[in-house]
Amino acid sequence: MSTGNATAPRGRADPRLLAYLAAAGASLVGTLIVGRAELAAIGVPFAALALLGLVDRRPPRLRAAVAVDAHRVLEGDEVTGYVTVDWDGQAVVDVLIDRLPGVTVVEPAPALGWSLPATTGPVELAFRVRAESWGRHELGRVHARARRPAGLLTWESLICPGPTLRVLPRPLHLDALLKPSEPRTVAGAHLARVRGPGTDLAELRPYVPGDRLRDLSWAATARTGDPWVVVRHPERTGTVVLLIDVTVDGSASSTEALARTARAAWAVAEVHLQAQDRVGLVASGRTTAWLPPASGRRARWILLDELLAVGGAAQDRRVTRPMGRVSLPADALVVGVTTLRSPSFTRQLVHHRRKGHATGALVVETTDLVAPPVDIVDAAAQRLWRGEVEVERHRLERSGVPTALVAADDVAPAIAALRRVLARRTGATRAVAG
Amino acid sequence: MMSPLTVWPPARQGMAAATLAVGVATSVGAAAYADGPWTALAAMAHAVATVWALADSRAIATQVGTGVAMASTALLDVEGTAIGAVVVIVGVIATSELLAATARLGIVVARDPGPELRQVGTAVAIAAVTAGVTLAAGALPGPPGVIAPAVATLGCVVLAVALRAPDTVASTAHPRRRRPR
Repeated sequence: MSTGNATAPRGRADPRLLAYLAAAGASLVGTLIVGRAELAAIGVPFAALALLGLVDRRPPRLRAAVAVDAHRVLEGDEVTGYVTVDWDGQAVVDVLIDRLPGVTVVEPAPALGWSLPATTGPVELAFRVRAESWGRHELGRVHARARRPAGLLTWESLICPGPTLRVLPRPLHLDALLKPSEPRTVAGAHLARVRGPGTDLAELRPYVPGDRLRDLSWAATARTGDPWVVVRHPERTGTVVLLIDVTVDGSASSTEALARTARAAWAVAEVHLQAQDRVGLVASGRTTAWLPPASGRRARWILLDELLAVGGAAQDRRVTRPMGRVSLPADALVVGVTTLRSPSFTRQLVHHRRKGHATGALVVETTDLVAPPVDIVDAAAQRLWRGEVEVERHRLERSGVPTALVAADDVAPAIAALRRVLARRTGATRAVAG
Repeated sequence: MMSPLTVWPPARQGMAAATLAVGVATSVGAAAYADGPWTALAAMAHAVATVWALADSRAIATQVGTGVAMASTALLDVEGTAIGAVVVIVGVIATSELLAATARLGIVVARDPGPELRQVGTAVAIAAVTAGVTLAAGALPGPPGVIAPAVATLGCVVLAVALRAPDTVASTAHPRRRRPR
């Protein structure tokens, strides 16, 4: 719950106040000068109304608290909240919550505001919003304006900030892992090139002294008459670094494009974290972030929190300082998740590839988000834009960064395609090295 | 900088139309009643100021100023009478109160116009009563132009104290508001 007191209420005089006082003064002075009592009848009503409006000049001391029924929701969920407003004495109060990033107002529509007739506090006001885009969003700020009944003074203040809402990306189904190039020494889910204790068959070879008896292949030994042992590949953990493109170009589709990017990134991160891999995060674009690779449950929450912070900062249009190029672990598989709207992001991916990292890119399809062209110029502009995206994609491919298209939030086929290409390239590299 | 609460309204046409009708009727009535060039000029200025104040509530001061000028010229013209000036000034006050109510309705959230209209009615009644009392006081014996303002000022103070909302006095002693010691 967010609570607060109006720290610095700003008092404002109604436009009528000065006019009424001036009219009353001028009229009464005119009466004394001219000596006609009828002139006083013109000014006295103004004086009476001005006096009445100034009788109660005490500030109403507004206080408010905002609460929501859920602080962590998925995209598309509705959140119910309450604003409790209190003030001293009787007053006409207007309450408004403005700046609502990442959510849309469901009720009261079209704005999250209430106009209360002359009454006394406290008053509880219910509202509903729908979480639209992922990220950690601060739910606006509560403004209030109060005026005494028939008063000519108004107090406006920013009472308190709204609560923080964490909007999680909608879960995507994904059960395939990308294969890091150099699995680490910790037991995990990826087959290592080396041989050792594991479950995946590498080869059969004759027994040599020192081999464990449990590695004997009884079938091969029985068939050949000589002892043969099974050699296996061990399963190790890997390191995956997600490079997320948070470019916001200001277009209407950029919010949904960003949401798709987040969903794909979170799907990849989650499946690798479940496989005990270390997952890191680098965000680049509207905002920047760097989370070193880590594994485990704690790392999962930290990564999710960082991802939500990135989403919130991108939605709030906060521009952070550009981050220098980070130094990634040598064994990291760099997976770029991008809409290819930013050439600088493409250059970053190419930079990591040139540094020797295994690098791939999940290109999030956003062409369906663009409205159909209305005229020939619009159609030409869209063709140009699609052409630019294709150029960026080919630039990545030429630089040794394989790409896979994530269409309609279906990330599994893209991961499978990327996995195939990366495996092929790793095999080719091994062959060249051998 | 515009306040975040002051947003342009979705619908307040009814109140704006009523305001315009009252303002223009006051202007036309004053010009027709006094039948003088200065009153006609002030009436035109008042009508223009009313339209201006509908667009920008800060122009209510201009509307009131032109209204006072219109009532004064209507009184000081050859055919002017005190009753006529009082009727004109009540119309000016009704217009300014309606303008303020229209401005208050200019908020994006829904607001009930009933209380606003009641407040306008109260203000008009107070204006009519105080102006009438002042006129009556002007007929009292004494130095002309002194008795009426004195009686009227005293009446205004008494009226303001009498109409003060009772709960605003009581709320300062409300036990819920006390700080714990």
